Formats: sequence, structure tokens, C-alpha cells
Amino acid sequence: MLMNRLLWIAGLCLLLAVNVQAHSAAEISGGFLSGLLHPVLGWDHVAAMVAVGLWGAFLGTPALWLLPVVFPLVMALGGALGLAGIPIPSVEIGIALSSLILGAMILLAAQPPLWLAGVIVAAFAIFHGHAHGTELPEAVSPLAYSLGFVIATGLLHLAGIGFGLLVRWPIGRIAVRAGGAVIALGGVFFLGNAI
Amino acid sequence: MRQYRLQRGCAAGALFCLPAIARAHSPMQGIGEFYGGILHPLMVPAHALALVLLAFLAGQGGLGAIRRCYVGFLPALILGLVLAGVGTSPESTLEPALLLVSALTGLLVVAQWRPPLPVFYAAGACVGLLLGLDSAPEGLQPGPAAASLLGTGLGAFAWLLLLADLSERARHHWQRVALRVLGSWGTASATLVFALGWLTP
Repeated sequence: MLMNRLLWIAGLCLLLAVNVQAHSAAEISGGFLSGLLHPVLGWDHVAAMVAVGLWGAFLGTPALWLLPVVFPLVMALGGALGLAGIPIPSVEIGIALSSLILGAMILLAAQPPLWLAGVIVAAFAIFHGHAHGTELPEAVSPLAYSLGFVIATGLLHLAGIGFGLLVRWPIGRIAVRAGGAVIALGGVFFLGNAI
Repeated sequence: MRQYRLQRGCAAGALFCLPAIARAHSPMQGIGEFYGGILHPLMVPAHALALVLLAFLAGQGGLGAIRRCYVGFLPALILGLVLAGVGTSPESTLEPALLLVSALTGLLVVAQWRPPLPVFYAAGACVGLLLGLDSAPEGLQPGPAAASLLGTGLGAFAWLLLLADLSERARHHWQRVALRVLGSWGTASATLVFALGWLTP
């Protein structure tokens, strides 16, 4: 009798669902869309991404494209650190500081050498990447998710560049610096929440 | 006795309900294996990324680089597809290898560094072989499997032709910058997922 019950239990266990091992279009598009939406849903990330594009446009060519190229590359390294479980102290504070400092750079019309601007942006990209790298393992299709995520990041940079191109006109320059002030104020708010 | 017969009948019925692992490979239902194969390189993110970045790299190098890339790519792709068709591809290491190649190719695109022309034979052959090996049709009869492989081969080569030609035409400064930006996006994505595969348990 006991054997009979065990056989029934074993049989029912066989009916348990197993993983799907296919790359369906729905799975890929779902991963891509969730990656695409993810950076847009966090204001601290949005502010920093837009600030990178805005500052790049403010500094002019080649910073205009170099900073948005440096950011995702170094962000991926930060993500790899997060995936490897290597801790970075005060990630949230670093993310908040990225909005504050990049916004302040735009507000003050700071024009450091290109290499220094690249180093500042790269340093903050590590914090952003580390925060997102830890979320990657939960994605259904990690590559589609990360492609969506990186593309959304790039589009936010592009939005910043688009707005930043107003610096060609005197009134536009004031508007861009005001934009930097708003981002810096946002950074103060994020910093208050992070501490 | 009658009770046991009933139990055995139920057990046999339940066995028919066993869920099998879904190994569907056609990226879209209803378009057939051949057309599914043509779309396959674009529907598998790792394949699409490797193809796009290789095309950008070749396009940046000019017509000579594109020709050498094709010469390396096509025979290696055919070899990879044949090996995949006969079931000798080591699937577990293929996607990480494709991602690694994509990350390196993307870095070259970002740097707009023109490697010596013979490098393009090797780059094309490397991506072609990995892509072919990773395109093994699963759970298909020999006829549809061959159609799927043929479609994948044609599709991959056609997409490479098209994308490399488009990127070769990028002459304006902003177009070349756009290629660099796209290269950085591809490299970042490939690096993240490569790290995910290697660094997480």
C-alpha cells in the first residue's frame, strides 16, 4: 500500500512543469521592453543620464559624443562588478551625487579638460552599472533586457544632447544652465533620501 | 482487482500528460522553417548583436575589409551549420563565445581602429562559425531541419551584406559617430550578459 502511494506521488511529481528552453519572440520582446522601461522609471537615473548628454552638448565636440559613449562602456564594467558580488560602498549615494555634481557642472558652465570630464562621467557610470548589474539575473532574456536598458540609457543621453544644443543661442545657454540647476536640485533631494 | 485496473488506467493517462521541455526553435509561429531560419539570426539577440557589430566593423574598414569579411564568414558559416545539423556543436559555450567576440568587435567599432586587412578574414570566420554552430534546429525532422539551416545561412549572409553595405556608406561625421555610439551600446550589452554567464553561479 505504501509502495502504491509512493508511486502515485512520484508520478504526480513528474507532472510538474519544467523550464521552457526556447527563445520565443514574446520572451525576447518582453525582456527588451522591460529593459527599455527600467531606466525611465527611476528619476535618479533619468536625471543623471540626461545630465551626461546635456554636459556633453555644453562642452561641444568631441565631448558631445564621447561622454555618451564612455558612459555605457564603463556602466557595463560596473554591472560586471555587481554581478561578481564585489561590493561598492554607498552605491545609492554615488548615484545621487552623479545628478548633483553633473547638474552643478552644467549650472556653473564648467569646462574641464576632456579627459577629466570623461573620468568624472566614468566614475559615476560605475555606480549606475553596479546598481543595475544586480538586477540583471532576474531578467527573462538577459541580453534582450540589457540591450533595452542600454538603448534607453542612450536615448536619455540623446534627449540631454537635444536640449543641450540650445547653447548655440544666448537664451538657450541660460535655459541649459537652468536645466543643470534643476538636475542638481534633484541630486540634493536624491542625496537626502539616500543618506 | 478492478480497482487496480482503474488505477493503472489513470496512471497511464497521467503519463500522457507529462510536460515535455519546450524546444521550439522557429522564432515565429506559422511562417515555416525556412522563413523562420531567415529571421533566426535577427531574433536571437546574441546572433543579431554579433552580426550587426561585425557588419559595422567591416563597413568602417571599407570595401576591401567587407570583401575579406565575406570570404571568411561564408565558408565558416556553412561549416558551422553543417556541424550543427549533424549535432556536433558544443552548445553550452557558444553564446558566451559569441558575446565575447561581440564585445571585442564592438570595442573596435567604438575606437574606429582599422585592423590589418587579414584580420577581417579571421573576424568573419569566427562569427560565422559560432553563429552556425549555435543555430542547431531542435526537435525537427531532417527535412524541416535542413530548410531551417538553409534559411539561417541565407538570412545571416544577407543581413551581413545589407548591414555592412549600409555602414560602409556612413561617410558623414555624424553617421560615423552614430556607428560608434551603437558599437558602445552593443559592447555594453554583450559585456553585461557575458559577465552574467561567467560571474554568477
